Amino acid sequence: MQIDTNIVNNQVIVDLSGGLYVEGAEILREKLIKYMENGQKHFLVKMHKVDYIDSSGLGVLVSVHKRTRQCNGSLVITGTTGFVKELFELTRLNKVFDMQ
Amino acid sequence: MSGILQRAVSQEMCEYCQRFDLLDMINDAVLLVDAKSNDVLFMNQKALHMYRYEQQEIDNLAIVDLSHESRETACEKMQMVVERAKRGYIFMANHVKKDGTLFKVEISARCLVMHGKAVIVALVRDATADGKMRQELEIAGKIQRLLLPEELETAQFSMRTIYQPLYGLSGDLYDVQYNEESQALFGIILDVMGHGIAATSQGGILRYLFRQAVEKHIAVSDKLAWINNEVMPFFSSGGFAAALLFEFDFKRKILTYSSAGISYFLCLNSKGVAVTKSPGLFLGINEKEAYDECVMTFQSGDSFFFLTDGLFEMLAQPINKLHTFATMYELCKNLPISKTIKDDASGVGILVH
Repeated sequence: MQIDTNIVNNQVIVDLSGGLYVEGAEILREKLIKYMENGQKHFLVKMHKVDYIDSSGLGVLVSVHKRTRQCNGSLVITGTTGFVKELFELTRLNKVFDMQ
Repeated sequence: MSGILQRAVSQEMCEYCQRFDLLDMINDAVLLVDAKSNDVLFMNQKALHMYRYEQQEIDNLAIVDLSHESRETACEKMQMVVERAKRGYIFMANHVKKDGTLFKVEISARCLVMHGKAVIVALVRDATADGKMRQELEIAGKIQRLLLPEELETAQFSMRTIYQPLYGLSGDLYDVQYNEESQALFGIILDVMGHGIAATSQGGILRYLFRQAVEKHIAVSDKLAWINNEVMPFFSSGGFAAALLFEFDFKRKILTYSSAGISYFLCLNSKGVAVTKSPGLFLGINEKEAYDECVMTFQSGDSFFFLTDGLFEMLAQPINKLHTFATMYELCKNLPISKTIKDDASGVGILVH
């Protein structure tokens, strides 16, 4: 799993690629929490290049979503395809997150 | 000695002493040990207090006097610190106080050169509390296992279970309630995010809510929605849970189920093994969430496996269609043992008689 981040116009852009499993999810969690601790509250997660996500990966996104909601921030997810898209639909998370 | 040299030496000594004063200010036990002889060169105030020694007594102390392990083991560990040099080495050891009290310590040590001498700088932490905590967790893990229902054998069905926590405690849980009179089997499989104490507590609450929900004369999907509403406060600080609630009506041969994030389960019948999709949002995310309810008929000889994702994801896809209840159960039971698990792995298998 590759996780690239940068800040554009006060929004943290997170570009993910590969399979998001438990180890990658833990790194992603640490990175996003660090941004939140530094006052960032708007996130855009690009998932065009993600071919797999397990429950720990979904867990990180849900946790970040909950935290951003509490501080009037936002979490936008873009570019889900294939299995990842189906999993978001099956778990109804496509209705929870702002999916673009 | 010239005046200039004398001043230089005393300045160096003063700086040296100031360094030791600084070590005394640290709120952890610090030892300086000669890397060659293993003699103790210095113990800060915290270390003296922890080991119950007086300052003047450390002149005759070596690391083997503080260790309750064999001389060879204690020296080997010191050698390891020397070999790892600046990278440092963290290890556990059994140490002994002056009064003979044994205690477990965690030592974080590095080997540095001070004034031309190889010195091991060791930060020693009393790990007795960690041991107690570990014991508590082991007991909690055993209690958690006791909450799980026994495998069932009735005239209507056989039930087999799989339970393999990633650590001692698990976020996975399952429970069933069978009413012989109505020939109805209610069951739930739960996967709370995390594997620690919080996940275990949340699992226990969900199990309690499941038992209450079974008593309610409402639809299966409404039972799940009720559980979600009741459990919301317990997930307010984060986290969520996946669940699948099912009811086997053996009189009418109907399976009714509602899912909250457990997206698949397995159906085995005369046509082979099929993966059934079961949509629904996780518990603990949205209040007043409405859940879908699905119904399917079954026949004698059919079987079903409700698995948490930790186990489902270990099954090689596509799943061999020729599996029987027995072979699928064996596979599910052995997978968490034969493969390296990355998540709690649990499941419930039901064979209809």
